[in-house]
Amino acid sequence: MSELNHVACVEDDSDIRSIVELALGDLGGMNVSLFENGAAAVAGMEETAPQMILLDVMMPGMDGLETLSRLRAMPALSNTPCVFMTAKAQPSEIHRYVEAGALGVITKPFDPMTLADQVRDFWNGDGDAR
Amino acid sequence: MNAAPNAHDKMQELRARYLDQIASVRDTVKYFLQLEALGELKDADRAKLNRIAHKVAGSGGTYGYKQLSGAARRVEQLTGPERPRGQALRHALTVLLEEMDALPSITPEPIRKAGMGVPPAPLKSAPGTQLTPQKGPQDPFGGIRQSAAATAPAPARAPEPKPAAIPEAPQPAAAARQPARQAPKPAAPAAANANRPKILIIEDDPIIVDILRTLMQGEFEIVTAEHGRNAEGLIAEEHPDLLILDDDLPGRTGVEILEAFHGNEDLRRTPAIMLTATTDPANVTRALDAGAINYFNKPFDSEGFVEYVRFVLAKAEDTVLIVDDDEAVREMLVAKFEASGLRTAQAESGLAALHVLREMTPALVVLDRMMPGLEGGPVLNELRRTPQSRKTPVIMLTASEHPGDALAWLKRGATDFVAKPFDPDEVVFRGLRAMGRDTAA
Repeated sequence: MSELNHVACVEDDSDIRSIVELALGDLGGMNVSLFENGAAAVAGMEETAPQMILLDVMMPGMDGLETLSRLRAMPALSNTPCVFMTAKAQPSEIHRYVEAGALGVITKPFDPMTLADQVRDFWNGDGDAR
Repeated sequence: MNAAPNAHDKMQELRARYLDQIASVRDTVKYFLQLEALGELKDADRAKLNRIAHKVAGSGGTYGYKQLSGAARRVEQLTGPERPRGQALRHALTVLLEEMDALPSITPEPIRKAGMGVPPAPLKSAPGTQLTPQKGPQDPFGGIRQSAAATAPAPARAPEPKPAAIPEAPQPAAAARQPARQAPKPAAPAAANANRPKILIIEDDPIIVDILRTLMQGEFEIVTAEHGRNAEGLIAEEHPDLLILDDDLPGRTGVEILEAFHGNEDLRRTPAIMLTATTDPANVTRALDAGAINYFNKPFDSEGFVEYVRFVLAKAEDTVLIVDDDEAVREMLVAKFEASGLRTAQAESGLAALHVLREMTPALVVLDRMMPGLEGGPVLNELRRTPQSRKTPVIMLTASEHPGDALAWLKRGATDFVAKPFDPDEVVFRGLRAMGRDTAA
């Protein structure tokens, strides 16, 4: 398994985006591509070719699930592992996300100090993590 | 983990901005708190409050304010699509306000940013002060100001009088005073109480005790004590499902009693409601920190209080905890149990089950035997070891073909078991039967 060094994150709260950048970039040593909503991700993510996608669930406009289905339609992103970030991590919700093709869920609020580890765990566990 | 100093500064800055945003959320919370009919919020208002609470619930911990997240989560839960519980919501908002007031003012110099769609309130003067929006409770996010005239005077944020959990009703004690003169403890018929939730009231005012007893003894088993010197012993002996606790008690105050429970999981797990004339906000915070789930001020709306008690006790009383690592199995059982009118909680592992069980004691546990990690057996042991759940019925799901296994599980404390692959209706039937419910439906 190759090392994870490029993650894309779609999150509508700009400060949370900054924290993700901080947590994964500054602390985690990864490259981070940030998108402020689903539409921006659909428009621009494919060419950044991330190894993994972090998706906020509740976003104005296109929500996380819809964004994922649009991204999945793109050849370069059709198999890119995706993890949702949500504060509503009921098992039934998680089930929906996994069915939609996500590896699993990172519960909000996340801890910036351990986010990179969490993301790497998903990356290393790949398909069976949830 | 390099670049830490830079990250640290950046984080400080983001945290400061977050506190700014919270100041406007605080205005929102205050706005809602002054509404009288929180139980009848317009749907759009409810949804807005829900969205804001969701946002805070999902972000507070990221900035290091876990308790803020927790308080907001409660508000979020209470503002779902179902009709909000006015009183519970009022309390949840009060707690959230407390949490926001407890936030540090760590901003060296405030950095303005329009957060969450709202111009932030002017905020904080010197480090060490609390968040102090100088704005009155004007509509902080647009569009809801009509629902109740925002006439409350803009508070100068002096230590505000703590909004009583139930501010509406005047003390209805007069009406209830008659029964108060009855014999202080009508002997409870023990047998009839077998399945009723038990409430321990620690209260030295006989009038209050009698009001509560009069209102609740038909539904609940009531045990009372005039002081809490031996609260630990009483709880160990009676295993109440709920504790109602006065603060101003002889010997130890209610808050001191709760604090003494600290470190004892069994004691802490008993939900405790404070019912007291002590209105000092600091005391409210202290009580909630010590684990009280709610804080009611006297004089209190006794009917509303009892409704809240029902609400608290109903949660666990109607909830089936389904523990299985197989998502499909859980979903199937959830659907079946919910079709039978029960609530459900799920856990996908033994550890997750223990986590849920720390928060609540369900009315029934459906427990898979074979799970990765912590298996069903240790969970069963834990259930049986814990006083609150010692009698909780447990249906084991086993895949075993060994005839002796069934007996072994029953001996270990399982109430019943169903072998996999199973008919979900059979699980529900056995579950309802184990709970002593009607299985005909």
